[in-house]
Amino acid sequence: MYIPITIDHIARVEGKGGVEIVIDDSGVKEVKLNIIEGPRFFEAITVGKKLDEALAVYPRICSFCSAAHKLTAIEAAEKAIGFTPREEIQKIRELLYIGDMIESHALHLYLLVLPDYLGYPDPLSMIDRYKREIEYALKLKNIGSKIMDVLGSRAIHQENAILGGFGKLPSRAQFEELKRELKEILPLAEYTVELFAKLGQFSEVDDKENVHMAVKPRDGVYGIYGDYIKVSDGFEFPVEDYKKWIVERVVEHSFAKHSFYKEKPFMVGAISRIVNNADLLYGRAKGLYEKYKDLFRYDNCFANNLAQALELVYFTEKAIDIIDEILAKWPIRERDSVEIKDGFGISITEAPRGLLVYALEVKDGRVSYADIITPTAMNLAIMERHVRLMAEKHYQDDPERLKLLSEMVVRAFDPCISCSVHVVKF
Amino acid sequence: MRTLILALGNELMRDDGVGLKIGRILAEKGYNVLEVGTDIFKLQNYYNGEERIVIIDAILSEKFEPGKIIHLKGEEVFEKLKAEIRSAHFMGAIDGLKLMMVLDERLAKAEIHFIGIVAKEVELGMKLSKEVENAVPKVVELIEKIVRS
Repeated sequence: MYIPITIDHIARVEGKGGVEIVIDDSGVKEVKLNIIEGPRFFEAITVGKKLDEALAVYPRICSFCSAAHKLTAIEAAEKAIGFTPREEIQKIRELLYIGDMIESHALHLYLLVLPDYLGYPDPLSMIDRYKREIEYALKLKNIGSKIMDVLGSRAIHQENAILGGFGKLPSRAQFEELKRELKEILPLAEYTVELFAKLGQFSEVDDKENVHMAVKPRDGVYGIYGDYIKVSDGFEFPVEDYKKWIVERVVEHSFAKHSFYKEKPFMVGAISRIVNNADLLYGRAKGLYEKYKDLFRYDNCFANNLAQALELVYFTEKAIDIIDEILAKWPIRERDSVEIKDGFGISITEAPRGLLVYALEVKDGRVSYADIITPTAMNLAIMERHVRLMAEKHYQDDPERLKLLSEMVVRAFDPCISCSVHVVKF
Repeated sequence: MRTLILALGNELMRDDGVGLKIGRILAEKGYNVLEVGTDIFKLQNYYNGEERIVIIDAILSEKFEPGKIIHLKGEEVFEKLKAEIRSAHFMGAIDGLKLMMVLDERLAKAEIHFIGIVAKEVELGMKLSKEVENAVPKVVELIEKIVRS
């Protein structure tokens, strides 16, 4: 018996991607996750390009994480040319990054995860009964995109974020408006935590061997930027050593390389941040974390959903605090001049889905080397392992049930595959 | 009647970027264009109650030749188009639009047009196929006609 299970049309047009589970009489033989690896293409097309031109290309890797890609690439580039941004600029960049985080988590939780749990095939079918939830999703999402539009520019490529700072900064009034709107959505974010705390975490995928990796926040507060990576086994390494500890390998059945830490798959994402850095939370998120502490489990990937919900609260509050800090220092100069020198720089940040690596080498003003590893690429190996755990328990069930459960495992990791096509069919 | 043109697509997937390219031409000509890329929900932040929405996007079709222009209007848009690809992170644009129509009465009443260009090459790359490239000026003309009508 061969059951090809298509999680989504993770498109390569020539063949539908997704998850395939191969089952024979003795059980699950193989689990394959076929996800296109877009960034490889970008590494290649940006080598030889002028640095600023290359920086305009990276955010296009993903229209949902354009800010994450742009800001990580900028940090790597600035490290390469030996430039350190001013503290205020760094704060504003973090605010822009938070926009990405809020948008991404809201969409993932309400439009992808929730329908699975409530037994609907898609968000549209649940709107009659769950209109409020859909409205919350879009309100949360919209404030995230508004932050990105105001700071990164209206288009989807964040061209306002540049070397040395920003092309133009929003007005004081625009920051104040964002703050007002963020305050309005805080209760919605808190509702999200309460809602997701009620949803089950499937014990089929309990895995005591789970290892989590996250950035060690630079300023000692739970966040996005840092210079060291923390591993849940207690180990830490500087971002410059990433190649030593995040080992990418070609695996036989996959288009994409898989990543390993000490020869084993590892996880990145919201739950990995919580596992490593929960003690650095503050405010309402800290209270909610304490309330549901037992549910933020390192050994169950479904905890990633609740972790994202908690981050909606955390990052909304943090965004408000950042705006206060910005306004306290107002007026702020939008950028400093940068000199493009030769060099090599590595940045690893916390994108919505986990660690995002950019390593860039600059020579004669041009990119001479680029290495990008996305969180989805890092999670591939562990995702497969957990789909297998689920399949081993349910391979004798109705294939539809197996399909749903496998999809739910993959979705818990929130893989980003929007660099795949989205075209409609007629 | 006010019109908002929504440019959809992913310009890194060759022909899938045709909607964005057409959108930029129309924006330069002064039309009200919103580049939504692969995120139809961007519409919510920028919708000002325009009575007509024109969506431009690439489509996949086994029935039609690459470069063919397909114009659907009103209910047809939802009946005939299948959002074939629901990315793991997202829902199809047409489903997304439907969702927003439930939440916004003005949008529910708007006249919806869908202009699809049948794609030939949908793979990593930024260059349009010849067939799709040739369709660009015709689509621009068609949309200008719709907006003026």
